[in-house]
Amino acid sequence: MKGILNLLKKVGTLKEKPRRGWVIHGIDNPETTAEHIFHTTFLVWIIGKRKDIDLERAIKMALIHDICEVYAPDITPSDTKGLSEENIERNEILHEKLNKGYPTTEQRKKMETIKKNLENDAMGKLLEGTEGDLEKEVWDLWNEYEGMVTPESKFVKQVDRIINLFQGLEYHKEYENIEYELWIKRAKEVIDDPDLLKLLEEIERDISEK
Amino acid sequence: MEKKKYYLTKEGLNRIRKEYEDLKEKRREKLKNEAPEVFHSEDVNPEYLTFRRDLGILEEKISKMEEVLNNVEIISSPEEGCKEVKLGARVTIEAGGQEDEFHLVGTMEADPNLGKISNESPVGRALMGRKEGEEVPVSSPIKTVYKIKKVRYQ
Repeated sequence: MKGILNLLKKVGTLKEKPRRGWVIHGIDNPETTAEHIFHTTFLVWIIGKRKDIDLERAIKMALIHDICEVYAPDITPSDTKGLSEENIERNEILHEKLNKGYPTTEQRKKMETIKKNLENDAMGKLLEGTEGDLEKEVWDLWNEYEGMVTPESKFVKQVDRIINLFQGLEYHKEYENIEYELWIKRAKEVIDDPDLLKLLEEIERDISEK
Repeated sequence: MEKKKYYLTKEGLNRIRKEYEDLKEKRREKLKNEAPEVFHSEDVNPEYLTFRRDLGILEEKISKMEEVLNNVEIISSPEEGCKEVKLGARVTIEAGGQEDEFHLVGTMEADPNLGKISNESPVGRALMGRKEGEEVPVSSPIKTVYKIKKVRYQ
């Protein structure tokens, strides 16, 4: 049980980790990574139960999809000190993203490679000392999520996208300077799950009525 | 009921086939080793439960891959010089002052971070069937216009 207790302590720190994206947007007391995981997992369950997928695996995938953030760096354009070369490159991409809209496919591909390496290292560190069986299960779920081949991983990725959009729009109600248009544009490029598309339509109706 | 068709590029089909072979290999490895004892003292052995769970997941993934491979439709290249957006097209677009390139693929192969956009996404659906030079609006509540600058197949 020692490994479980250690993992519990480490994952628990996500309750105190504000999501950097919202910090950049100047949100007071922003959502933490743990809160984001809760919201994502909840939506995976309530929509996933209508689908022909392995719901238990999808829920577990949602639960672990961001736990590497215990150690994975969450770098922003304003953090310029002490960065490695690859982080500087990532920063430049993020900088461009903030100034010129979303990154292009080429920039996104570069960012993905860097992000994947950092997150894999972080996941390895997080799972150090965890019992073999649990460690293997988390790695399997993580690799499946990142591989985006199975219906479960595709669904959870898209839920992650829509929950971010939803949270951003919630903040927009209080912070009118938040430009949410790019998030909606991107969601329409990314989401193709029929149930999530219906939810997206409902979210759009909700904005229009405001 | 008509079986769902899975549209894949040749590249996508190779990836799915490899994934399928890897999963079968993992199943072979798992079954090669002796299954753990069902009972440990008087309790059910947790290692046995893990073994059953892992095997069940592998079987399910293999079965889903088989469904895809049995109902696959390869995206064929259209005639040379085709300027219409069809599955498999690489489309250079301009939207909101930004230029980008999308690869229009079926849902199985979609990976937006790599520029592979599903033909079942709202943007994918809107672009399908449109031609080079056309402006394609995707709206409600925010209207975005995608100008198709170039269509190519490779």
